[in-house]
Amino acid sequence: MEEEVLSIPRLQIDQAAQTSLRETTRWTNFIAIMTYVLMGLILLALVFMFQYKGAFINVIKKAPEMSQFSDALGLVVVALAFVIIIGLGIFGIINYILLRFSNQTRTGVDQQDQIALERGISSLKVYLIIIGGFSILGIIVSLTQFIIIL
Amino acid sequence: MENNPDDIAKLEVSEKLRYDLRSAAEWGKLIAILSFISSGMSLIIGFRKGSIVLSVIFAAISVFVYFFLFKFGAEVKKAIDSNDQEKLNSGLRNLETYFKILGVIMIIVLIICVLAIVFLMLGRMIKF
Repeated sequence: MEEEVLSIPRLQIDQAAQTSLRETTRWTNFIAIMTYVLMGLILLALVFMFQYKGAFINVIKKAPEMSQFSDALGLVVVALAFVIIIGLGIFGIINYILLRFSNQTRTGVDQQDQIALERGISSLKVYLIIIGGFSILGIIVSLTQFIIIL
Repeated sequence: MENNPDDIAKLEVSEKLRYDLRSAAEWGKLIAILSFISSGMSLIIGFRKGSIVLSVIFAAISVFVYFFLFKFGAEVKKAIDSNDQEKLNSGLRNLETYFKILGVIMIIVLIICVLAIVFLMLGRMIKF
């Protein structure tokens, strides 16, 4: 009877699973790095547009009929920049978690390190939980728009 | 004495790994289902606004991508619950495919962005 208990197979990260995980980490590494590059470009564009917007607002301020709205325009630009920066910050953290999954899982698989693999999969779990949270928020917003349009 | 590669230090699905994989699978499945619902709603909104072709294309791409995340979620959960090695391997293959497709989409988007910037700069140079 002890033999029956011992013979129940345990799940393992066998060669096939390791190959899949290795490939997954290659792609997630690429996605994470490219996302950081894109975020950097967005920040640069933001800085450029912010400087350009400053000159544009100055031109608007000179027009007598627009002078009463010039303060509001400045505030809108600053608020928009603030929102974008906060968004990039949040996105950056999510991306970091994806990168952590990629690096730790890769280490776990390559060096047969159980602890590194566990940390990597834990990062994947956290990444999917955060994305899931945003998905729930997104579906609530979409449902609201959907009901309004219908 | 032969050394079977499978006998060398094995990575096993420990209790912690079981818990995290199961949790990841559940959330992956939820994200996929929410994406399917969102695609359906976008399709209906697109039809009402008249942009049928674009709506169908984006909905089709979204469903195609998240189908693999759904399969990852469903199969890994089943694998953990029933101790099925084949299902676990299949689930991880689907996770690989999901991220592979996302990576390819990212490459396409990057190429389009670079081309747009190049054409924009060329346009400005021609104006001057």
